[in-house]
This record gives sequence, structure tokens and C-alpha cells, in this order.
Amino acid sequence: MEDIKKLARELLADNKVQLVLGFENGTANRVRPAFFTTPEAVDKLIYNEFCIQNIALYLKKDICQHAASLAITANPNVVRSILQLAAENQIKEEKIKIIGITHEGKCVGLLDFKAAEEFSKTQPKGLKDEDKALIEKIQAMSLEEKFDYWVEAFSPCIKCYACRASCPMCYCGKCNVESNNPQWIPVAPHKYGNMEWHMMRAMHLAGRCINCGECNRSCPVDIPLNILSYMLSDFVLEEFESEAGLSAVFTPALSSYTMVDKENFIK
Amino acid sequence: MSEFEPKIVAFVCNWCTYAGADLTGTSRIKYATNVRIVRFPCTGRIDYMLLTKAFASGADGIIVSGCHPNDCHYTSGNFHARRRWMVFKKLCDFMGIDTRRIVFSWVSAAEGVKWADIVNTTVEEVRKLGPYESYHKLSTQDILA
Amino acid sequence: MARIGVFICHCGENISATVDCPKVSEVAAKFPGVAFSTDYKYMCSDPGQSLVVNAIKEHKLTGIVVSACSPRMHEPTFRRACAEGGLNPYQCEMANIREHCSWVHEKGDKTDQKAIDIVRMMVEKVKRNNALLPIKVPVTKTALVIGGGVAGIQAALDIANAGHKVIMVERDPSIGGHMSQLSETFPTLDCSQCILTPRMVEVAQNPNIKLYTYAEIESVEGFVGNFNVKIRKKAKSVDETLCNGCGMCTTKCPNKKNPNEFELGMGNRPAIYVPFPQAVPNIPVIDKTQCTYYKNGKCKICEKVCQPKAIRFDQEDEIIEVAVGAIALCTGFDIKKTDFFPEYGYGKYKDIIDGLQFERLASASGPTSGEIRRPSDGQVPKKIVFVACAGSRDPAKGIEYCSKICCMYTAKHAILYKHKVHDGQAYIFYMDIRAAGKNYDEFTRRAIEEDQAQYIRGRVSRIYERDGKLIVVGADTLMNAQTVEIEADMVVLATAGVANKGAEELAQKLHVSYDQHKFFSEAHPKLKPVETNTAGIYLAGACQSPKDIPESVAAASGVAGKIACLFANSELTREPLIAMVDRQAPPMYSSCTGCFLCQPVCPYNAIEREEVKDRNGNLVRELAFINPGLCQGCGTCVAVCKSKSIDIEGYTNLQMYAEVDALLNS
Repeated sequence: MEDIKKLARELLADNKVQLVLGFENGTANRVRPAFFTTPEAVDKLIYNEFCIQNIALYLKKDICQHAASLAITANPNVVRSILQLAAENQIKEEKIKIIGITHEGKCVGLLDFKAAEEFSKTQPKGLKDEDKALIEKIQAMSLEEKFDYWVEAFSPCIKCYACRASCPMCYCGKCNVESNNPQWIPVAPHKYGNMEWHMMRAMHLAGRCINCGECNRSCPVDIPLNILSYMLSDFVLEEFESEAGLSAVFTPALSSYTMVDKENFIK
Repeated sequence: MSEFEPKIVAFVCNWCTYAGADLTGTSRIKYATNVRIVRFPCTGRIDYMLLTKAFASGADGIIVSGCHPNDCHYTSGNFHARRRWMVFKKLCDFMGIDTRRIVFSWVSAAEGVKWADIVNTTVEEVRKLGPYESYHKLSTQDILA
Repeated sequence: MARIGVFICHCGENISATVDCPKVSEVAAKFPGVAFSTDYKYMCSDPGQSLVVNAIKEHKLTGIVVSACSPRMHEPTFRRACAEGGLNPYQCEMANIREHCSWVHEKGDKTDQKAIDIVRMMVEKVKRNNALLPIKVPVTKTALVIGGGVAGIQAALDIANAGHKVIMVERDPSIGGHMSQLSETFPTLDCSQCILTPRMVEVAQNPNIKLYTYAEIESVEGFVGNFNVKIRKKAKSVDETLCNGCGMCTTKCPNKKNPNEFELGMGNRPAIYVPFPQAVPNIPVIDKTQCTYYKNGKCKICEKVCQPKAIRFDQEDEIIEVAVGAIALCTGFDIKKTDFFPEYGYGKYKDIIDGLQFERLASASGPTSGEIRRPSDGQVPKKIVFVACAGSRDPAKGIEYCSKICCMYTAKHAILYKHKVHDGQAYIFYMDIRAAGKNYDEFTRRAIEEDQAQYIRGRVSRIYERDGKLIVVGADTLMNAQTVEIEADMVVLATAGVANKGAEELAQKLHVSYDQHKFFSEAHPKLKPVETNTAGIYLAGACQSPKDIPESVAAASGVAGKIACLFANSELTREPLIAMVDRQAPPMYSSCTGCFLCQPVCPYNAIEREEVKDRNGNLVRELAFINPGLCQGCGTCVAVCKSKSIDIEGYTNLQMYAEVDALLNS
């Protein structure tokens, strides 16, 4: 942790960045994201096993957008997010300094995009065994069981959009769910609206999701949203050999095609 | 009670399948009346949101059809569509949405017979499956139920 | 409030025999927003159209649904009627109740219901139609012709003679292409040079044509009527404005033993050279890879002997930017070399040559001054074997197509050979004699009957050398596939015509499509044979597929005609059914996030980056912008855009949603 702090302090002291995005201690023994703008403030910067939130999210917020340059304490999920955001023209390399941190919490120093790409390849995705098990469990179900499972899983959804708010890839200024002309998705949190909302979100993230699992962690009613994206990520990797978050120059699977894409399902 | 008549919505591209369906007409080949055709410029334009919208609004089956590979009027719209359908189908399968009710096909402007065939087989398949009640119910159920 | 008019056509009995038209009209009249509904026997007839026009005026309609045949049939007709009635022509939709209903179903309630549904769907759609204005695109009345072979020459001359400026770009130091290498041409045996060189000179002298030789296309941007092209003019090391073509440099150049490309390696040329005596322009270039000065830093003899002081060793490649309105692709073809054929010795036997090499041997200006002599020892071959379909029509070789020109030029070769070697015997192995064309079959008959060419129907399986002779082993399929062995002095392979070098890269620069053999693809094999899928770019000659001279010239004139049509107006009018990205007042500017994931899906490279800047010139946002001149309206970007910031006229999200809604929630 001390080397992270040292790096952050130096960057601010040397005016290399205007702010550092990281974590500090919050209330009740919790950690929270924080912005540090002076070398002295960095005293409060922490990084520990609880700092799992994907703070790449804040890169699209005003405070970061308006900063001329910034640094970020970046675990592998954050690094992947940054690369994917860069691939989608949402962040420029010259603006951001990445303080790379491994899954184990070890600081690997500053990463440029090239180094970040290498780093991403060495750090496994944050997929948990229980997620894999759940995907397999669902895949083993019958059609009706699957449908019932998801209708049931979505039924407590109150359309709070915490999943969207916590996702670094959900950066659209105007989300399609807010469109009312036409009303693509019913606003009310009933079964139909919930189903369509989560389907649309899964489709939008297909080939772009970096699998941090933040949507699931942020969901107040514990819907396993992350596995929809996990399942599609696996599919996209298998079918199109395409994986998000590994390169800053990348065309996601659904913006490209090959002549040999499967079509055995087409009559 | 009369036999169940499935409602089928067909999303087709203008240049191949729409023209193919025109040819079915000019060739006077008869097919089931259950289908309603929605014309798009290209399969690349077809939004998956419209497919779920169709199910929610009461469709029992959907046909999505366009130009054969390499025949696309816009050269690559159908290739993008093909990939999009692959992913969408995978998601539907995972979420328990009945993809037996979604028929993807390539029907060229010369395949009037194939169009009639696609419609007829889809109608028969969906007739066997019955009304898509589980999805229809989603949209009609009371919020508080 | 929408006031929609619904017009149900009986189409004689085509519709009314199965669909109850008055009933459909009656039901449609009650649809929300429908102000007028009627049915009529022939809506497309003059009285039918008047009915539409008058109803629009009388009932103050805001949109119309003509419920009749396929829009692919009569949409333009009713758009015109719509405009005549005083509405925007795009406030018209057609409900297809003929091809999609009356012709495919039996009479009955279900069919009526379907017709009603189709009408309802289009009523809901037309309510959401926008008034659209045709897109006007200015046209730069200059054409770019890429390639200076016979097709390019023809296209350039025709366009120039129509009064338009032409820029011609040729990769080699001279125009002329493959035709300038030929000795005589079929089926008349007139000398190729004699008919081509006057046309080459015409190109050079035509004030409307600007010629860039030794130049290649660097990049192409823009769209029909408005292309911006960068041309890389390779350094010739010679100042073209000073050189008078006296030829002193080429004569005095001490480094003369370089394989001559024009003679296909069968002769030598100096390091500073003009490819052939009649070259246009008659200006030499220095081959930097071979020039002694460029290699060793010493020599400069050409500079010393050059009287007008035109030699420029420090000359660099020049990039020239031009604006053109149309592009003619006339880049020609190439042929497979003899080393492509393992069964014919991988090119290791000197006396197995290809058809183009034979042309040079037979040419009066060729390396043997027109005498047929073996490359190995200069002997006159007394037995010569021609192998047609060498590589062509051979799926095992990856070339399943017919190269088309070989049957004819092989017959020509046999004739030329007999004319030059009177006591010689020519054998031709062939699969079929394809001599379809004016005076073509007569020509092959002449080879057989007058010049005693012996045609053997069968493929040659192997050629090997034995005692200074080439043993050609083949089968005569007309003689029970009996093995034929010919002891030949020389063998000429009519090798397959293939796409030219660099065709793929060029196609990618121009965004035109090409087939699996890298030949450029026409927009439609029958009805648009000289257009490409990219508006404003046309095709002529063998860059599309192997073609003979008359075909190439005809296609080139076709291209010139197309371009002259394009240039006939100062503005192009295009259908406004195109996609656009939404724009809003600041600080939103647009709901576009600038992710540009739409960019790679556009087949026309129509999606550009637009920079939104504040008053101080600082970049605020990057937004997608769709160039209306390039967009062809496929709408793939619309479905890809996650924030639904892109919409497409004619098929907007609102319209499509309303159609689905109208179909099902009735």
C-alpha cells in the first residue's frame, strides 16, 4: 500500500496529474472511492482487500472528465475497464496514469496502455466458482425452468438501475430505457419491463463486458445479473475469439463479423 | 372451439426476402394467412428489441429473413445481422425464451417457393407449440400480482 | 392531428377477387387518424391517381396509404401523386395487399383480416413519416481513370471528348497496358501497336486529359461527385518538363543488362529506360534498384550526356491531391507465370513460355524482331505445342473460371507461327474451343483449315525434357483417351488470366468489393455490369474478369457514358432515406456517446467523427456524423447504436415500433 501512496503523492507533487482516483476509509469500517487532489491528502488513500469496487466508473463522471489529467489505483478489473473504455473512444491515453495493482494487492507501478494490455493478459478474470456453477445449473434446466428461473430472479427488481449506475460500460448519456418515444421498455418494475430491461442490458454488454461483476454486487435485491454477461462473454470468446478489456484498440464482436460466422441456425 | 391460429410476424429486408415474397405473389403460390410482413431496408437494420416487442404484444412466432450471405444489397448488413442473431439466440436460450418460435432464414428475391415454405412450416411448428402464453403473460400480468 | 387517406385498389380483379375491398375500406375509415377511405378499380390509372390527388386537396390529408401492389412496383407513382396533391412525396406509404395477400391466399375472412392488418400497419407508419427533401450533392466534373491500358485509354478519350476533364493514372512509365505488348490481334490479325499507339498519342495530346505515369493511388476519400484522391507520383529521376525524349541517356547508360519487363525477361534494357520505343510519354525513368549511381554512388553518365539537363537524382516521390467526381477502374489483369505449374516443370524449362512471351517473340519490335526462336538456343522451333486452359477451368488449381481469351489467342498464335515458320507444325491441346464472338469461330477454323494447326482435345498431364526436346504427354479424349506424346521444340502455355498485382489493396482503398479471385465486382452481373457497389466508381476491362479487346473497349465506352450522364447535371439528387445521428442544443449536443462502434459496421465508410468545440476552440465532445452523400440507407448502424442516437428516415424507430404495435395490439 505504501508504494501506491508514494506513486500517487509523487504524481500530484510533480503536477503530473490533477487528481488521483482511489479509495479511502469510509464510515463503519467500510471503504469508499475518493478523489485526492493534493500530495497531503494522499495520506488518506488506502488499498486493501475491500477495495473491490470498479472505480473506472468514475472516469466518465464530470470531475474526471473536467480534469486535464488523472491517476487511478487500478486493480485488474479497473485496468480492463480502462482499456475497453479507450477502445470505445471514451478515454484518451495521454490523460490517464494507471497505477496497476494485481488481484493480490501488489502494486506493479505505472502502466501505459501497452503495459496495461500485457498486465490484463496475465490477470485472470474475476469469475467466481459459484458464478460458473450457477451458469451450468441454469444451462441444465429445461426451457420452462429457465424462463421461470429468470422471471422469478427478476421479480424483486425495483428498476433502481443500480446495475447500470455501477457499470463502467453503461456510460450512455441517455440510456435507451429512458426513451419514451417510442417506449422501448416499460418503466414500471413489472415482469415484462424487468425482463426486457435486463435482456437489453445483456445484449448491449455482449462482447463489451469486462466481467467485473459490479452489477451483481450493486444490486440491492441480489439478482445474478453478472452471469448473463459472463455467459455471453464466454460465447463471444468461443465463437468469435473476441474478448473485451484486453486491448485499447479493439472492435467489439457485435461491431464486426467474419464470413465464416456460424449459420447452422438459419434456414 | 376453432383451431389455434398462430400470429406470426415476419421481419424482412427489402431487397431479398420482401422481393422474394413479392415473387411468391406473382407466382400465385398459396401460403398460410397467419403472417404479417414488416419491411426493413436490410437485415442489419432489424433491432432485436422489436422481436421481444412482438412477442410481448402477442406474436406466437417470428420470422427474420434477409439476403443470403454475399447477396446483401449493402454488402455486409446480413453478416452483421447474422452475428447479432447468434448472440441474441444464445441469450434467449439461456433465459428460457422459446427460440423454436424464432425462425431465421435467407430467402432471396428468386426464392418465392422457399418463402411460402418458410411461412407454412413456421405456422405449423408454432401451431404445434401453441400460443406463446408465458411471454404474453409477462406483459399482461398485473404489476402487483 | 393526422388526417390520413386510405386508397384501396382492386387492381382489376387481382385484389378484389380474393379481398373484399369495400369492406377493407370501410374498416380502415374507422382507424384512428383516418380522414378518408375509398376503394377503386385501378388506383394506378390516371383517374385513380386523380382520385388520390383530389382527395388530398379536398380532405386536407396529411398522409396517404395506397393499398395495392408491392411498393417495389408503384411507390414512385404514388409518391408523385402525393406530391401533385400538395403533400411531401414521402408522406405516402403503400400497403402491399396484392403480392403479399390477394395473390397468395384464398378468398375468406382470414384474407380480409390480413389485408385490414396490413392497411392498419401502414396507417400507423405513415402517421409518423417525416417530410423529406431529396439530397442534393454537388458534382466535380472531373473523372479519374485508373490504369492506362486499352480500357483506360478508351474511357479517358470518350469522357474527354464529351467535354469533361480527365485525370489518368498509370502505374508503369508508359500507358498502353498489355495491348501494347501484343503482336497481332484476333480475329483480323491487324497489328496491335498500329491500332493502339495513335490512341495513346491522342491521350497525351488531348487538352482535357492530364496524364500521370509511373504513379499510383495513395488514398481515396469522399463519395460520388466528390472524391478526394491522393496520387503518389513516383520519382522518375527525370524532370519531365525538361526532357525532350532524345534517348541519349538510354543509349549511353553503361548498365544495360537488366531484365526487360516489357519483353517479359526475354531481353535486356538499361537502368535508365523507356519501356518500349512508342512509349507515351516518351520520357525515361531510372530504375533505382539497378542504377549504378543509386547503388554505388558513382556513374552519373546519363546526367553528363543529357543536353536539356533533365536528370534529377534527388527527385522524390510527389503526392498530388486531386478532386474528382467519378472514378473509372481500368487496372487490367495479369497472367499466371509458367512457374505456377509443377507438371510443366515449375518454369525451369526455358522453352516453355507463356502466351504473352509468345506475343513478344512474334512481335516485329520484340526481342527476336518477330522471328519465332526458342529462348534457350535461338533455334527456330519446328514442332510447337500450345496448351490451352493452362490453369483455367481447373478447380484443383483454385481457378475454376474460364480465362476467356486463350482459345482465341492460341488460334492466333498457331496462325502467326505458321506464317513465320512455313515448315513448322503447331499442335494445340484444348478442352473446348470457345470461339463465340463476331468472326471468332471463322478465325479458329482458319487456324485449323488454312494453317494446319492440329487441335487435340485433352489436357496435358506432363511436360519434361529429353535430349533437348520437350516431351509433351497428354490424352486425346476424342481418341478413347489415348495417350499422345509429342516431341516439341517449344511449348506455349495459355496460362490463366488472373487479377492484377495490388488489385486487393486498391479495392480496399476505393472501398469497392472484389470476388474470391480478387477481380473487382460489378454492382449487378447483368443490369449494372460497369458499376461497382460504390456509387461513382465504375469498372472497365479485365480488372473485372478476363476480357478481350473489343469487350474491354465496349465496357470502357459504357463507363464513359455512365460518367457523362453523372456529369450532365451539376448536382446529384439522391433519395433522402438515409441514417442520421441526433443533434440537440448544448450542453447535450447529442445523445451520441462517441463510442464509434457504429463506424466499423458501415459498409460505405459514411460515419465520420465530428468534433464539437467550445468558443475557445477546446474539444468538448466527439460525435458520430453520417455523411449524407455516402450513406446508402441500410440502417445497420441504427440497430448497433446502444443509445438509439441514430435513426434512419423511412424506417425510423418510431415507424417500425408503430408497425409492430399496430399489427398485434388490435
